[in-house]
Amino acid sequence: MNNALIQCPVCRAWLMGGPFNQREFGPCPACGVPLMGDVFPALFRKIGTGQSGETIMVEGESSCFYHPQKKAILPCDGCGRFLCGLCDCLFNGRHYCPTCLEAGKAKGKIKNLENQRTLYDSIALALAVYPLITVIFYHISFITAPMALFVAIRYWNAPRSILRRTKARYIAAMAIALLTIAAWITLIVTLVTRHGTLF
Amino acid sequence: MEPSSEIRYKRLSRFRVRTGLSSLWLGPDHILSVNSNGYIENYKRFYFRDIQAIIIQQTSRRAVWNGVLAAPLLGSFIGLLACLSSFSQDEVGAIVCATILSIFLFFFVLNFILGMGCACDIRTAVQIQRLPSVRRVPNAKYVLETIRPLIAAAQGGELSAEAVTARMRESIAPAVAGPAAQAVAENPGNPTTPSA
Repeated sequence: MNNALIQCPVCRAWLMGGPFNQREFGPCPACGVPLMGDVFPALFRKIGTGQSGETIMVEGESSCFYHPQKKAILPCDGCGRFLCGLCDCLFNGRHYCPTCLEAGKAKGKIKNLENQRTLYDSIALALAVYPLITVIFYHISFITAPMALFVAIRYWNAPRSILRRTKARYIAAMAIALLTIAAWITLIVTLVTRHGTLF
Repeated sequence: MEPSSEIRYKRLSRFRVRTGLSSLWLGPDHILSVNSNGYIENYKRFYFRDIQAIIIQQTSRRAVWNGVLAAPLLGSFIGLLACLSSFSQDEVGAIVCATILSIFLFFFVLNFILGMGCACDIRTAVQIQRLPSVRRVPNAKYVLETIRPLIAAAQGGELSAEAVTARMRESIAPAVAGPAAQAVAENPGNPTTPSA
């Protein structure tokens, strides 16, 4: 992607304007597939080269925390350490050092760096419900119901989907799991009291 | 660090794909593509200031589905006619055929209402990413209409079709790119022409 041209997604032909910013479909000049699209000014923006740290020339000048021989140009917005041009990572309009950026991603403190989440509420609900609705596997609910209860309690406060979600799945999973466990206990008690033994 | 408050997203599209569920959401300064298998969600963010182009390509999805649905639809219709004919008078068969017919008819009509099929690609400086949740033209147009003013606001305005063509020609000026660029300028759409 080293130029300001767009390729046809089907035939990979270079398109010069053509069907773009017309707000209606137009054929690709090469393959004739109907195309529509919008091109924005960012396509023609020149990509700036990265900064390299400036060497300290005068004694007493502030130096970069990570490169003591390089001149500090600003502090990190996360930890306040002085950074040189090389260590300055601009992200969402804020300046971070690589360590803060890494920590922010690992600990989930910078939400916009998060690219995956596990949906423990869905897992708990699946553990509680699936063995029951598949009927032939109902007997494994003996194991999956306590597992669902454990997952729901253990991850009650864990981050849910990045899209807004309630705790309804957790509550449903716990309710179904508790009912399943109660049913199993009732069955075992009934068998033991009627026959004097479980088997 | 950044405040950890949750961002409120507005749904733009949703579609079931082979690997699970894919959806597209509108955030304050970006769009979020979510791919989920039901238990793990993967996120891709496209910031308005970074989006270079959005390309929608018409596909034959609707026609293919119409073809797939037409066979059982026709079969159940013929079956219904056979059951209702004076030769058989099979009421149970007619009810079964009518049920099957109505199910397939529902999906046939739904497929028609959803509109033409399409594939939508989003281009930034570092990648071209397909949006699996945008698969129908009316939905793609809605997504484009919704985010176009936001991208324009983030990038300082929209470009007209003429301005796009002119700037593309400028970008492959022969002085910079030599004969290859001249070839593209003379013959846009030639897949063999190398990039500038």
